[in-house]
Amino acid sequence: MNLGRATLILIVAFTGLNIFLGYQLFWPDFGRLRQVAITSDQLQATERMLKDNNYVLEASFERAKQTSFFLTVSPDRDIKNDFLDYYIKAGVRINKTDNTTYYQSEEKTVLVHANGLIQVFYKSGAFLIEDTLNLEIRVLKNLVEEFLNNKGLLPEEYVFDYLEINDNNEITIHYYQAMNGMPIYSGQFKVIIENDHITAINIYWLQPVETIPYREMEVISATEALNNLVTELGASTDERTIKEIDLGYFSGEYDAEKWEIPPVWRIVLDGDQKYYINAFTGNLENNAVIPDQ
Amino acid sequence: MIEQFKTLLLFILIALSLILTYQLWYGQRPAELIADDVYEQVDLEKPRLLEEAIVPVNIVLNDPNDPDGKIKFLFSKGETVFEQLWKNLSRFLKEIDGDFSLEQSFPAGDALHHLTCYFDPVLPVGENRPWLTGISNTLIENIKFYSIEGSYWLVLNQSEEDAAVILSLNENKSDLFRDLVSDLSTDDETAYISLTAELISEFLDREMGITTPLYVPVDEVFMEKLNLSAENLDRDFLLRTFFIDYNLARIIEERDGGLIYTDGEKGLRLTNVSLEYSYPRLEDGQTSFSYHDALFKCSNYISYYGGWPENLRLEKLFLTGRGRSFYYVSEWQVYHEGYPLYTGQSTRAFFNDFGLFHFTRSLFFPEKIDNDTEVQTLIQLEERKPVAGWSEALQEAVEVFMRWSPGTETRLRLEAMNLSYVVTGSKAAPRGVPVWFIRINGENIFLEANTLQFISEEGIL
Repeated sequence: MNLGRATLILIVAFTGLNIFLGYQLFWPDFGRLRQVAITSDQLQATERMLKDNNYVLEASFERAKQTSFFLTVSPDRDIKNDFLDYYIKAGVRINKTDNTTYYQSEEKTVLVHANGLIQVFYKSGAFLIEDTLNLEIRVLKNLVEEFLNNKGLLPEEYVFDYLEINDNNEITIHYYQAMNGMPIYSGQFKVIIENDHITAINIYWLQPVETIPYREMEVISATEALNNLVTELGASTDERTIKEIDLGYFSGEYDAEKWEIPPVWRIVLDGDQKYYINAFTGNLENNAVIPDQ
Repeated sequence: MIEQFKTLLLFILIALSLILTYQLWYGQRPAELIADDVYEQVDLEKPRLLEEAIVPVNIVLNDPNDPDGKIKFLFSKGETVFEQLWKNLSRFLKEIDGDFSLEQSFPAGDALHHLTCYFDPVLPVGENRPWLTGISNTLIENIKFYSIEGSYWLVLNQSEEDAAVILSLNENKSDLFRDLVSDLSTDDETAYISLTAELISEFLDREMGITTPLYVPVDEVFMEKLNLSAENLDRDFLLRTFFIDYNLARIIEERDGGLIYTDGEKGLRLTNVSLEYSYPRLEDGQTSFSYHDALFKCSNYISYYGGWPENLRLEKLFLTGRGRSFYYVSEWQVYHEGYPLYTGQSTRAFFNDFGLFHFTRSLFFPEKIDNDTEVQTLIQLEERKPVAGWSEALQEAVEVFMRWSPGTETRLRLEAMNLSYVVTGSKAAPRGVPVWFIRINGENIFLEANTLQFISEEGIL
């Protein structure tokens, strides 16, 4: 083999290698050409910190630098109006208190709260299917969504979150809201199933009013969010697993006209415990900071 | 030539693969934490000095022409005489230094009582304090000024110890004090008497104790309704003061028009007439600083977060606790011509070693006509009306209290009684209504001053 041919082979090989590395680095979003927020050292340091405090990281997350902005929301009045249309047409008795309106028929009671929360209670339950406890989650989820869709109760842009079964064999399916693929964890609905019947639906849905792009800021990294969470929670006596860490929007529920919600890192521990770290400030979000709420 | 180009290309590809491998393995330089730093310089009001932060609740002057010593003249914050008198007395107390002899006993029988200064919050005196630097550090609830055959005496009653500190002033200081009180004119002043349990028993059919010195007017007093305006709070300034980076604060618009700003840890609620700030994370703290330091801190807080207007008096400062947490509470009150203006939401700060964790502020001031002169005149809503007498007011208050607690056999305690204003009306047009404020067994009772009509606390702005 002469030198020229060897050079050609090496050129082809290195071209292939560069294409592979470029794909790994930049695909599918050339936005990854941006600076990364988490270096390998930082990632390793976070993993060591988690291990020292008895946490195991099973979730993957975005390492690139990301920016976000506040999202202004209000309680979703369209959903509320749809509900009212649906139940008023059915002929219901209406009672009002300061903060809640009750719509009652023989089969159902709907409570519309001033803060936008809507609760539907089926007195004898709406039959779904036999043996719901032994159904695959996917099948049960599809049945529930079909039921809600047929009743006109399925909001737009919902995302299945998780399913839980309590000691009384009561199944609760949780969904959260999304906007252009970005989760809005504050907006959620859940469906409660007892003895193969849907007995209650809770809906708290938000209407995105506007984004505030002029206040676009860089969000903290996922590792910083993890560090802050462990600082808040302290070392765990039992091993805890970090199942998910995702960027979305979250805030408490307010009895207000409209409000801004910040981007958060949602960290799910052991499958069901959720913590929200404000992605701008790094603070653990809670509802207790607002005076007189 | 082609070979050289191929070699060069190979080197470029090798270098590029190394760079990409490095990028993939180590990542790039860490990004800045926050996209833009938006910290801004905020010009805060300078906190008051200690001698300006504490003023007496009132100064009670004994009528020199009353041989029985029953008639008194009462001066409180917001009155011109009070301001001048306290300025002179404060300077006098600062200048005493060591010009006295410390006495073990006080010959009360021979003494002529001139005046008393009541302090709440208590007055810190002694070394490294502005007042009475010649005595050991202590906290004073009241200072009584006496004269005995031409010499002047000060009796300092301490807040925590029974024994009073008794000072006999030397000649120089005695002369100084004589000049100070001789300048006082009481010709136009309202006469007051001290309330006692015996005096009350003449008007009430049941016993009532008195827990604190109280003075009520015996002359006719005229008061008028006031046209008020809420303090104008600068939202942007407050945001920059409460939040280091206010860009991180999000806004919640309440249905009543109020705005809440929060960064997830602390919240600031602003309405047209009030602000409320809360930082719950700091609540579970301890308090290791002294009362003296607490005075400085509360002076800082009120000055930084909205300012300390002229007629705003520091009304309370005390250490309290909840669970295992201890913290100081300070409270302020606006005074108009010696009368406090009570609002529905107090102007109050809660703080501990961690800092300020709760603060509310709601201040109203009498509206004045700006007539391009140095002395502004109040907007007159109506003619001044005479207020009901103290005995009628007390009887009515006891009736209200008994309606709230029917059949109670509890011994009644009169804890406060004074003429004042309450802020009522709408947020757009608040009004100051003259009232008798009476506190019986911890219950606040407001009675309209001339009609004695009960005013519910819910109706106070």
